[in-house]
Amino acid sequence: MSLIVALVLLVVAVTSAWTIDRSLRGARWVEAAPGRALMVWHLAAISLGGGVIAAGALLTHDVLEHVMFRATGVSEDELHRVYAGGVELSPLWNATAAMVLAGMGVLFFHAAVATVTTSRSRRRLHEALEQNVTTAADGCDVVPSERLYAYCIPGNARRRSRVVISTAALQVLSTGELAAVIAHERSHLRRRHHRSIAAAEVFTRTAGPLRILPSYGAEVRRLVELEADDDAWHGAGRLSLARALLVMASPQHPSGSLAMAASATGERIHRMLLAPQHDRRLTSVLVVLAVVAAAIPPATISLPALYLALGA
Amino acid sequence: MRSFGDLESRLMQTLWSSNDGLTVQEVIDRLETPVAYTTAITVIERLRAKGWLAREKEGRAFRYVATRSESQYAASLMSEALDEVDDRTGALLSFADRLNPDEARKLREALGRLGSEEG
Repeated sequence: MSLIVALVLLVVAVTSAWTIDRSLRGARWVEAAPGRALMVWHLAAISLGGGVIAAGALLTHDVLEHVMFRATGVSEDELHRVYAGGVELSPLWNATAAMVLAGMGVLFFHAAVATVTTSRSRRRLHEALEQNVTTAADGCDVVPSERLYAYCIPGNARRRSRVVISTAALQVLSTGELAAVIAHERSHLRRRHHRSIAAAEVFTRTAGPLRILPSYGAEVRRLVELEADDDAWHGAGRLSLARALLVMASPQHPSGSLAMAASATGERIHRMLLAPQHDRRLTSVLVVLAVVAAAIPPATISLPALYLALGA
Repeated sequence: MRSFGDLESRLMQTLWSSNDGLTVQEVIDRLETPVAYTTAITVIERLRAKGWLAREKEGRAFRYVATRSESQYAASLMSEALDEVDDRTGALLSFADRLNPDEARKLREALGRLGSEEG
């Protein structure tokens, strides 16, 4: 019984993840409602992750019994009574269990590596900033540099979050443009976009080779910028943000490089100028569908128990 | 590039605060906590080897001068930290990435046509 439940969980999880990836990637409404799109992406990942974990929980238990049976030679019924589960020792069963457990192991490994490398990078940046920066009146750290840049670094328990801007950027940006840049970075920090990115990155690295939810990482990176842009223009105005983007992203050394595909920043400037609209009802339905998809794994794993409870 | 160690940092601070450069003995005299002459000259020569200091003969001693200012040091430290960050997991969130020249020109034209909204 639990093998069937586990397989159903996996099939449903992979199918819904595939459907969501196909329908969200390149969808027009996403540009107009980046916040909702982010929500749908994360729910899709939760749905898939929940399915795999629920299947893994069922499988782990039976693998344990299998191992104990092989190791001790105690009768299956005895073992089953001790560990209270189903002993089904088919090859399909074992292969599925091994794959799911290996997947969970890889996920945890990637999460650990990402946590360590990211916190090390952030610590180095914080330390470099503590060496010599001047803090401007509006709470930004100003770094003496001829390069044009602005970014934010999330803080942690010991360090505050920072919005960093170079002296060169301060010089070329007008008051309105600077306000747009700062509002954009503050939005990243307030909405904790770094967590969205980290989650999507770890997930994509794990599931990437299987082509499950393949666009998740790249789309989250794009959508957090769009969402922060929306927060910024509400305060500073669309044109100020569009100009700030153009100033900060323009090549500082003009060269005869070949025309490439439109960049992410180019798309953001276009978007500020065109102000896309979306159908609120349609996007609400999509969010609700994503919530349902995320609820399927816990519902499926509860079904056999509910069936017994109601039948008794 | 690594950031300065504790003694390196104190020696550089002393040298940055003087305009005409200092001899090793003068640097030691200005430090708040005393340092052995041999230790000081070892670290100062190491800083010279790394290109942070230059020296010129003065009588029987050498006079050391900082080759780059403190703010240049901070800027290079910052830039290198920025370049080395593997940003795949969002260690920092940068405001904008580079446009190619053609795209930048077209967008500038589009923005120019819209006139001005505010500052």
